[in-house]
Amino acid sequence: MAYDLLRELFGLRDLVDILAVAVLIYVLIHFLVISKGYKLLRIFILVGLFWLLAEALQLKTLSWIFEKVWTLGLFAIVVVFQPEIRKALAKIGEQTKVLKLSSVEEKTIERIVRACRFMSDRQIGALIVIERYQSIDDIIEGCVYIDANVSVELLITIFYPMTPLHDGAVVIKGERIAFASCVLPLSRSADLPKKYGTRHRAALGISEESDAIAVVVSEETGEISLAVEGKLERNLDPEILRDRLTKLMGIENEGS
Amino acid sequence: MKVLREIFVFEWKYKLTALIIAVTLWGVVNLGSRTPVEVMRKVELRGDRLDFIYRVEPERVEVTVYVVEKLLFSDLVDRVKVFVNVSRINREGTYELKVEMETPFPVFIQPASASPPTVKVYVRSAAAE
Repeated sequence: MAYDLLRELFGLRDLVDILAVAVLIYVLIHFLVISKGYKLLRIFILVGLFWLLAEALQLKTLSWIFEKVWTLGLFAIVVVFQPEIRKALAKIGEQTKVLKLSSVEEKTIERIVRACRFMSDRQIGALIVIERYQSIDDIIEGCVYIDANVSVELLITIFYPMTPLHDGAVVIKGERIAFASCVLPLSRSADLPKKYGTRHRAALGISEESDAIAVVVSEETGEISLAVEGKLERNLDPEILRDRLTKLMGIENEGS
Repeated sequence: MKVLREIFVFEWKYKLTALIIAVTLWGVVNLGSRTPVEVMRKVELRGDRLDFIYRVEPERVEVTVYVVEKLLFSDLVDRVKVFVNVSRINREGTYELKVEMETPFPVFIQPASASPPTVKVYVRSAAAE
């Protein structure tokens, strides 16, 4: 008798249904974890629990409000947590490797490294952002359009003190210097030591908000740092910087 | 082996959580609501004695059964039984007894009411026949 009931209630279609929903929920959890959107998850759970409570106690008005809030809330969540969602999507795109990260070539990296070595030796401050898979156009502000080939001379010239474009970041897209004098979002990380200034905080900020990487040359010490995924790799020598950039741009095997 | 490990071991806590939520959701969606169905049933006798002859009127009653949607068209609904308990009757006569209902799957198939809620039971001695 129990077998009859089980057969009627649960079939292959239900198994597929449950597995599909489980995969969907797993992707959502994974997405929230990647984007560090725990607060989003907490809000979901909290609203869900209150809703269940309202339903259980048959509080009709409250249930009605939750029903409406839920629909509107989904849109609000997309707007409020846009940076987290963008970051998570970028990460998923990276993981699935459907698209190539960037069209940056080894020669471009070599030019960036040589420019950084030059500026480091002379303590010329610099901030170079290299765009990868995710576009950063909607994150950066106040840029001056350049669209020129990446060259050691041009990079040094841009960052040379007292010149109009030296204050701000250079953005490299593929083989081109796309923009100069860009204003980047500043990181709010408390981990950054006080000796690092706005330039380093901006480098961290762009690496937190997107999958772009940022190379910083300190004006005070000439130290070269690299900001990747919200972390700052400090005091790199040019050879290590070359290796890291080559690896991060996914051209490690092509070069060797 | 690596694929199996990837499927079952990697982030198993998240996967288990997702599975539990999915099963719960499936339960809520498929078993959470019940639909009323009207079925006609013959009234059976329970506790009847061989020395009496019973006649029930009406012989059939309409029963409202609340069924989970998945079992709406299932034969399992036919297993709902309707009866009157005549075990306390020990004399001839006419009795009005409450119709009682029985289901093998109380969680999924719940009989709610019978129409009419009572039936007349005419009892005669078998010896008189």
